[in-house]
Amino acid sequence: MQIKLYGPGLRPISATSPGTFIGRLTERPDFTESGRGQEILRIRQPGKELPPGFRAYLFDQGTVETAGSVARDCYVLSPEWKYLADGDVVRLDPMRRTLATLYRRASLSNSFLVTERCDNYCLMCSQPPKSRNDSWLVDELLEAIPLVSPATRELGITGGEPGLLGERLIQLLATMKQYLPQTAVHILSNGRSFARLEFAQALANVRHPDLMLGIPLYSDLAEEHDFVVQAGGAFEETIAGILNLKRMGVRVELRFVIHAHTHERLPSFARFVARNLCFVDHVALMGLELVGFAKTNLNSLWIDPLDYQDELTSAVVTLHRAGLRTSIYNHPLCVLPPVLHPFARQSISDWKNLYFEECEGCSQREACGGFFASATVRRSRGIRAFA
Amino acid sequence: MVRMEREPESAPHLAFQNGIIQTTIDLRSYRLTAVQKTAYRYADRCTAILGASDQHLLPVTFLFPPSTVESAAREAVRQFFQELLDQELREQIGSETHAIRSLLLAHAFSKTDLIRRD
Amino acid sequence: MTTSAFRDRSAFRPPAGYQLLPFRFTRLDGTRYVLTNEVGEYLLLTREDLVALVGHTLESNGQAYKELQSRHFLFDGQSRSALDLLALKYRSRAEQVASFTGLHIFVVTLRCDHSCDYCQVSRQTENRANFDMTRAHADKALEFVFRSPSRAIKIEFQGGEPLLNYDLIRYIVERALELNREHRRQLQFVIASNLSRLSDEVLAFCSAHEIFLSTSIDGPESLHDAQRPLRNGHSHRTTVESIHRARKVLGPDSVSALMTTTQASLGRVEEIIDEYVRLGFHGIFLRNISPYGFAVRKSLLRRYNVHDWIEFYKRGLKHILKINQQGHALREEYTALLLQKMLSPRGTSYVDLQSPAGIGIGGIVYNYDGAVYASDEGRMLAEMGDHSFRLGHLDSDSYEAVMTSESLLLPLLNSMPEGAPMCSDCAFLPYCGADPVFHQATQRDVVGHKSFSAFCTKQMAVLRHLIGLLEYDAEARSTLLQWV
Repeated sequence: MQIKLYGPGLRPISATSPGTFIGRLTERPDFTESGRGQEILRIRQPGKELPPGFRAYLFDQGTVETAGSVARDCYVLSPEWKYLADGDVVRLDPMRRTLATLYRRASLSNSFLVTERCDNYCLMCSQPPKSRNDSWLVDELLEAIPLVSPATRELGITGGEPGLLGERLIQLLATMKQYLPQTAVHILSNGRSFARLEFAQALANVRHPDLMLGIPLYSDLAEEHDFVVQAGGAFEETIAGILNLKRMGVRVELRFVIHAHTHERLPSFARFVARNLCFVDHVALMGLELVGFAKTNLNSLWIDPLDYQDELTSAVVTLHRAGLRTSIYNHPLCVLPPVLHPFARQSISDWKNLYFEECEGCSQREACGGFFASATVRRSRGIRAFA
Repeated sequence: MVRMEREPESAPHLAFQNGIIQTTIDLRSYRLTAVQKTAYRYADRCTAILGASDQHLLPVTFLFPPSTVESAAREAVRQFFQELLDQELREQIGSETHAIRSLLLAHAFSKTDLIRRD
Repeated sequence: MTTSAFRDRSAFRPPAGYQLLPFRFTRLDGTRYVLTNEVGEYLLLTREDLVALVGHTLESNGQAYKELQSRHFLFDGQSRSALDLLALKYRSRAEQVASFTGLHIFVVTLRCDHSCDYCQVSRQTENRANFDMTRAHADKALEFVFRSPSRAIKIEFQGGEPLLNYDLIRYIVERALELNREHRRQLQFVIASNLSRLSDEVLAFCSAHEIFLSTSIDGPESLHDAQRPLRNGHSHRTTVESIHRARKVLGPDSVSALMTTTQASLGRVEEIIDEYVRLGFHGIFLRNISPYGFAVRKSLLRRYNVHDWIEFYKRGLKHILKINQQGHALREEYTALLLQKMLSPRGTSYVDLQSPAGIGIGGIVYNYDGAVYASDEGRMLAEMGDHSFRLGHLDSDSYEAVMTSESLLLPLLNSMPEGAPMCSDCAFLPYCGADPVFHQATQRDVVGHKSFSAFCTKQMAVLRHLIGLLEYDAEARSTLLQWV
């Protein structure tokens, strides 16, 4: 399935609030009156009186002609927003007439963007950095977190580089612990800001019950890693960050994206991790997502997964033998040798996940993670259905 | 002090007589400790008697077990000098890495370095 | 790059110049040297590259430089990570020592029903009851056992033939389990037995307490029986029958077997290995004959040359690798230990290949007469009249006195390879260990002169051979890696 998380399609049919605001969707018109202040009523059926007191009202097309007597913040949604459901948290921008989905209760892959600023500049970055001040993102998140269902299994924190938030990242994590104590948090970070022991310590001191940091590492050699992330000194700081986090008892996962500039040293990387970083909690070897800079630099980055099978197999075997939990992300099963199938995970977020024509009738479809929506840009010659 | 790679003393100049080969080692080219360590290592093949050094020249007498033939003796001496070159390299590495080795060990056992595994 | 915002590799080159990190090197073969760092990571280099490396002229663009940098043999000025990571690795490896004595050997009797030629224990015949360990000594020994801080404790019963004193084994196991309710260690029991006395009652007891069995199979029947005479019986047939019975009750992996190499074995390594395969074993330990007990008295040692053993080992390993490639999993245990030391960040805990030596601090022996020895070989040396490794006696010495006695501490300190001539320079140091008992037995000195040491000759030959296989024989390499 593929769904849009941000974009136009919000047509006001009444007076509106002057600026953007967030709220949680409910499909219950009888929602407790005193609690309606941040709830947005989702209306799928035509007719009936509008119950008062909700923050806003979202109508599917064809369910309403006019807003009637309830005069504020009524909007009609264009069809691509039909998926919005009870429990989802959205941001409405009445001026620009856009919607953004911050959280979907039914999804297993909710992620919060906390900043677009970054101190790396990876060749294959799927979220190219911007240098403007976007601290409003965290402000908004702090407001959104209390609206998120406490039954949520896991939430991601991404960027840009979340570490650049400094103290505010700590605050964000503490807020998540407070409102969502049962929810696992997975922070994607380059680890560099944790080269300062105090910062790693501050993060650990939140004592979040289920926290993991996903940290990319692209080589056993500093210059190779620095080249891929386009920042001198990055490798040194990242390693220092990983060590500090582990010293403070924080769980760390290493992430390695496989492309033309990294696949050759993949076996060496695995050996390096097995000998030097054998205390990390997980290693993820990942396929390229062809968006952002990965798309810009496609010609120099692209390599067909069929052409690095030996290197990938060697790396997985090395890591696995060393007792490290190892996974392969973002590779369909047809481009992996059978010996690696047990390591492949269904890792692609639902909202950007699809299957191709070739996948019709494939016997492994249930087990396979499929493709990124962006995979249409360039595909492996190995894509085929299993009998 | 830069130690250049040196050709071992070439065999034709070494006379083998009565189970003995005598030669001289220039201590400007090889550290005395390197010679001693090599002599120790080769104790099963020959006994290397180090004489008193005159300025930079160290007389060395190789004594071989009675049954040793000349070719075997020359080969042993040739290998001795190969090993001596290696030993020189070791000394160089040792002196260069001595400080960092101490630092490494101190760092390894400092309390702050515990990595906790969940 | 399609966008000028991206810089190419040259912008990230490290500054020129590098520093050496500590390493050792040894000649591997005619063309290459093996280099090892303090934590046992290794690399092969030509002499040319080695000289360039030490001369600080090694090309930073070249393959050799990158491999050296990746494995922490050198670092450039900006790198802090090399030192941090190396220190961590060193600590992980060294930490093993702190887990302390894990192996506790109880010699419950010296009586035996076999009269093996090479027996390393002065055994008496079956009828002498004053060669059994007493309950009083067993109790005192158990107190010692639980004084060790090790989380994992293995109690191994030896002899003579330990099952000749089965009652005491029973007593010790039950008492140990009782004591362990308070101490909560991971307890494991092994009986090293020739299995001639494996009654149903013994099997039931082993089953109830998950006791493993370790036995001797020297090879096919003709070889085995010739070396291991059993009064009134055929040793091979009896042992094999018992192995099958044991497996039925205790499970397919409950029995392991060791072989002892003698002059007669040296020419028959393939047959011995085939016998292990025939008997359904998946592990074999190609041991060398040791210089203790009857072996020396009967001058077997003089007739046995370490170079003959090395050939035996190489042929044996070749045969074992072939068997693996043909589909039967068979691991050579000594090779597996060495590979683990070479390829695993933590090394191994095998007591006979440690630095400092595993005597006392890795394993300890409580003899049938109440004396405490630093190792099994130390006890055998005592039978030959050299009591250097007798640490004390259960009746007269406390745990503290035994563990801090000079007869333990001095050999530990003095025999450490890091401080020994030749060893301290040797590239194989991280893969080797001290064997103070062997050197005391053969050279009357716990350190020994390694040029005259059969232990050293053996170790270096085996390690050179393994590195050669890993580097130049892809098929062998893939089998060997599965043993780690």
